[in-house]
Amino acid sequence: MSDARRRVLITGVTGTVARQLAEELLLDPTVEKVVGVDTGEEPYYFRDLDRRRFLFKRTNVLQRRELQNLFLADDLRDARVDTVVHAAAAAPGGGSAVEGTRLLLEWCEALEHVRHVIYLSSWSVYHLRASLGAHVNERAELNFADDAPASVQEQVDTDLACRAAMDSESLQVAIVRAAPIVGRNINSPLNQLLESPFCPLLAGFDPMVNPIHARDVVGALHRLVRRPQQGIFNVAGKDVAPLSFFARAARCRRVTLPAPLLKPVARTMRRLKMTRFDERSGLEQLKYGCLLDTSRAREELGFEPQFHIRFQPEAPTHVRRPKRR
Amino acid sequence: MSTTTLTHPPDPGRRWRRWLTRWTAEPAWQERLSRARLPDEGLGYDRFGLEVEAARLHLSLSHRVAALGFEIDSQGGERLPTSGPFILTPTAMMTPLGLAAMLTGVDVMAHLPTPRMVRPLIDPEWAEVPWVGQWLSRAGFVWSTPEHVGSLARLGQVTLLLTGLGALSPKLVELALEGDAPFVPLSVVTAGRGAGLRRRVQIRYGRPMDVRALLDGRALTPNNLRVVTDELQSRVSARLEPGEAP
Repeated sequence: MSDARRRVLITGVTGTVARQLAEELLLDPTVEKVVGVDTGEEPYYFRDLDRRRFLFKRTNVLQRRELQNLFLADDLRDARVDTVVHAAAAAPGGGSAVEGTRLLLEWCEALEHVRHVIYLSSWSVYHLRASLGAHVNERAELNFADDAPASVQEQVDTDLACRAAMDSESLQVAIVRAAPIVGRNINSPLNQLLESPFCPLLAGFDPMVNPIHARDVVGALHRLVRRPQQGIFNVAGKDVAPLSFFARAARCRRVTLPAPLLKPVARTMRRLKMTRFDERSGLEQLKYGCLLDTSRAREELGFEPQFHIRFQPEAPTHVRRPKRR
Repeated sequence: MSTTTLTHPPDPGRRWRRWLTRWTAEPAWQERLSRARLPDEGLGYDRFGLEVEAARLHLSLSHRVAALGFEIDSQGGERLPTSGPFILTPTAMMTPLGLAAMLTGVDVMAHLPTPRMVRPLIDPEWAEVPWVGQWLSRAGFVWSTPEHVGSLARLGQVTLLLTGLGALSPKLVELALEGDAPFVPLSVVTAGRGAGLRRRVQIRYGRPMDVRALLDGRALTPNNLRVVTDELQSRVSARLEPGEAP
């Protein structure tokens, strides 16, 4: 680790993982300043932070003009950030993630004080199929299928844009491919499935999953901020079990249907707000397991998952029925 | 969601699998099953999909089927490594292959002082079959890919290549070498009728072959790996002919 204290810019900072990372970095004496960037107004929970060390900027980094204004702003130029944690591409909406990420990388390359970029990617970039394996390493095939869901195609393209930036001489780029993240207010497909009152599952299939706790993802990103490295790192959680196990643990009602029925029923359930699971993100994740091989992150980053996943002891309030009098 | 230990949610399936295992297994076999070290990553499952209770039930049912329908004549079981990974490589296999895998699993379990489970590698196409694929993975079958052979070797497990010598490729041999897993020749063939309606089955195990010894200090280049793979294939088939005692 170099002696200089880090100055970190986090995109999509109001997202759960990015917000927790910002808070954790502010407790780290090796971090001098944190600049949080997001599209909305500054949320109330950032107002209590040390203003000398934390700066919030309202910008959509996926838009060319706004990105330009961000990097040309005086306060950001004064901050002289050396590390960019790009978590905005994982957040839904707000412009093209691929194009926006490319522009962000171009800016990072152009600014001489930015030396490290960390991109938070996801396991869904891998091509899910029966023979994928129980130890999917970073060299596994990505999902280039024409019929892949649009969200997956976008994630793959963004991931590739970051991989291409690894050739840059002035930048050190790290990609963190996280297993399905579970935690409060997380937008991963698995979390949406498990947080719903009803959980649509595919009859005859029960894939193995090893979800990762949001705090473990924060831990992996924090390690990369402290000890920047170039490369792709898979990170996954402690618990390995079938999807139905976690659905039972989350106490959501399982609706198990054969493949031809599942899509229309899940769509109807989503429209009726019975489930948050978006069937447009593909049913492959309900059919094939994808367990990440985290040996590289363990050996090179010293990453070990710390947190088990546990759901509320009581069923979520939206599942409980009011008592009849 | 919080961060303390994950507790087991109630699973009625697990209870009836345990009950069925107790009901189907003979006392001696039940004792053996209870001593067996089944892979478990903490929640009763391993990453290949095996569920401890389902695997015990599968082994218990396999033992019943083997006792009722077959007379197993097994030789060379004492040569099986008692610890660490090894890869059973068939030179001859009776059909259907699933039955051969089942009988081999029962025989290996019966022979080793510390009972160990065999993980047969089967075609990933089975994963596409609803319920069947799910049951196979819970019972301990693993989808056949070279990476899985490497993973099983690193985890110290016993692997059975159902496709036999045809499955040996330089990549597979390299992964086996990384996991320090020797190849053990195996033949499972039928040999006529036994008592009653039972079929006689001969199971023969050869001597474990260490890839590192075959490599003989040579560097692990692609060319050397190909040579070692060819040598391994010829040695496995020469050491053990179908039905012939090693």
